[in-house]
Amino acid sequence: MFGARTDALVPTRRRWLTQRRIEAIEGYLLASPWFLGLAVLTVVPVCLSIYYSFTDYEIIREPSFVGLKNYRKLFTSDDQFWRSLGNTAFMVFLGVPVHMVVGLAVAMLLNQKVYGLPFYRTFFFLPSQISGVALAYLWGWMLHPQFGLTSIVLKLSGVQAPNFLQDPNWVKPAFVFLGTWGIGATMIIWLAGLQGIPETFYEAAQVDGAGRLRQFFSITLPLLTPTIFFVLVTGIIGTFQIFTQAYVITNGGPNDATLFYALLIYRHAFQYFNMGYAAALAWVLFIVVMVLTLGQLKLGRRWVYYEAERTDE
Amino acid sequence: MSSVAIPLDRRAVGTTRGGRVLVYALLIVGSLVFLFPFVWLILLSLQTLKQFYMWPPELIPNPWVWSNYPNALQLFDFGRYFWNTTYITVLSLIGQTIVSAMVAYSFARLRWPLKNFWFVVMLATLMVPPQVTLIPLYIIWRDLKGLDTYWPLIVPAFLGSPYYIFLARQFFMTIPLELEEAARIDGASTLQIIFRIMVPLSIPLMLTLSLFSVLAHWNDFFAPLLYLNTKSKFTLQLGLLVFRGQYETNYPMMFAATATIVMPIVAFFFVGQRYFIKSVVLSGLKG
Repeated sequence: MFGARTDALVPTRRRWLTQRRIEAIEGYLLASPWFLGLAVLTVVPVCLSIYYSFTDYEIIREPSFVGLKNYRKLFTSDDQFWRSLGNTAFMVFLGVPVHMVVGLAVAMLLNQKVYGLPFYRTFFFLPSQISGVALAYLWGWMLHPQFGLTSIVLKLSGVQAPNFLQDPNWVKPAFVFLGTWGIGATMIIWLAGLQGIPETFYEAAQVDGAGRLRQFFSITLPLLTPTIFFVLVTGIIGTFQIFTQAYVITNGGPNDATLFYALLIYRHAFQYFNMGYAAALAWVLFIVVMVLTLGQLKLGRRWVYYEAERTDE
Repeated sequence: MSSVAIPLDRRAVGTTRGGRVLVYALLIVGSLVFLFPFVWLILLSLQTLKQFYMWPPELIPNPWVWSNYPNALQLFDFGRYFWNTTYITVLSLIGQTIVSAMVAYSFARLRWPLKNFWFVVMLATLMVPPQVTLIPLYIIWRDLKGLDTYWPLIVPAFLGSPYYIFLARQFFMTIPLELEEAARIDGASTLQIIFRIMVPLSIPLMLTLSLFSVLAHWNDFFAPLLYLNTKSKFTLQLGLLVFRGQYETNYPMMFAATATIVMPIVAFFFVGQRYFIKSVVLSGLKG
């Protein structure tokens, strides 16, 4: 399928088949599985869901067109919509930076030459592998006002423990705190990024007398920018997907404090069976996430550095 | 292949004794903190229900109820669910790694019209919340008679996952161009360059992707829940839910079943971890 490049050096009658065109054809062919996926897994379903968002659609009945009704209701008379957006924003602004900093710190710690490294890495990684529902139960258990670990620790140190699961002010920070246990997955991305930094750079810096702090800010951080960019973008997107914990542990409570956006959509779709309204909610979510990410991408051009970038001339 | 396994020691913090002590202290304390939920899970899984609800809470099982494990596994069809889950996980892994490497190479290196546009489109699809496509996809699979089969769970892996493609592309872009240019002069085809140069030079990344892929499918709960109806076709996660529903809040048993599901992942990571360390192949620069 993809002939050797030397073929192109042989003069042929097909003059239009230039090196450049062969490359373009190969490019499209190699990317074709994704193009197919784009069509059937994304474009078609997304178009259908746009249509649904303009309809009243209870699962068992056919959708009926109602124009902007769903969107009007959402922006003007749905307090829960604004509440869930605020809750999710809280998690983005507190959770994403905290988990990024902790994740990088742990990855740097695990990028040292120490004895028992495989064990340390596995230990830090393991908690992120306890799956959704089971992890949620474990969280719920930990935050339990009577039996929970946090309560026990705080009581032993003489502090009156807040009832994390009942106090609207504490439940989200508690989620962020427990979420740091799950940084194992992003820690591996950080680690892969750190290991992609050539050792020679640090050796050269040491010869030049650069201290550890200087090395971090002048070598590690700049060369990690692709990783930082990736973790930031996926972190924001992932935060908008927070569902299982809120669904299993608090079911959106107390007082809607953990009514996150994904949970609101789930409720409308699978508890109130209002597919049209749920589709409208999903579309607003999509637009919010898209604006945030495209913003990051634009900003990213200014601060993300690639070692070998091949630009179109 | 011009690649070299380099040792992990790139910045030995322990040039001073104090620094070394600090690193070990942080590692040990951190490990304990991170390991605790897992230890707790296992300890709870070995308690009696009575002890589980005792106040003040007790950590160490008394007595050690090892029979929670065989009992828990008997309560749901573990062997069958294990096979089902492995089947889905392995097929998805094959699809995801091969396709991601190909698509990522195309985006990282080849020049084709509208590439940057399609890259933005890919990032946009990464942003499409699953909630948006969920209902239409379910109806599409229903019309294709794909409900209650593994097709909806496996096919997407062969159609390129934007997440993995993005990650692979970012990594490929950091690999120097000179190597593949040399290979091209030697007459290597694009597929050869991808699978004999780019992929071997990206071992840490490919392992990372494999790990993510395996974990995602092993732990996936929502898609099997949505698409599988017949009990004999269930995955472990789905089986676990059934177990929970039938034997309400028998937490020690549930945690025993959960621990059993987590174990293969632990084993997988330990194996991968060894490989991470032994052959951290970074880039042709060091060849």
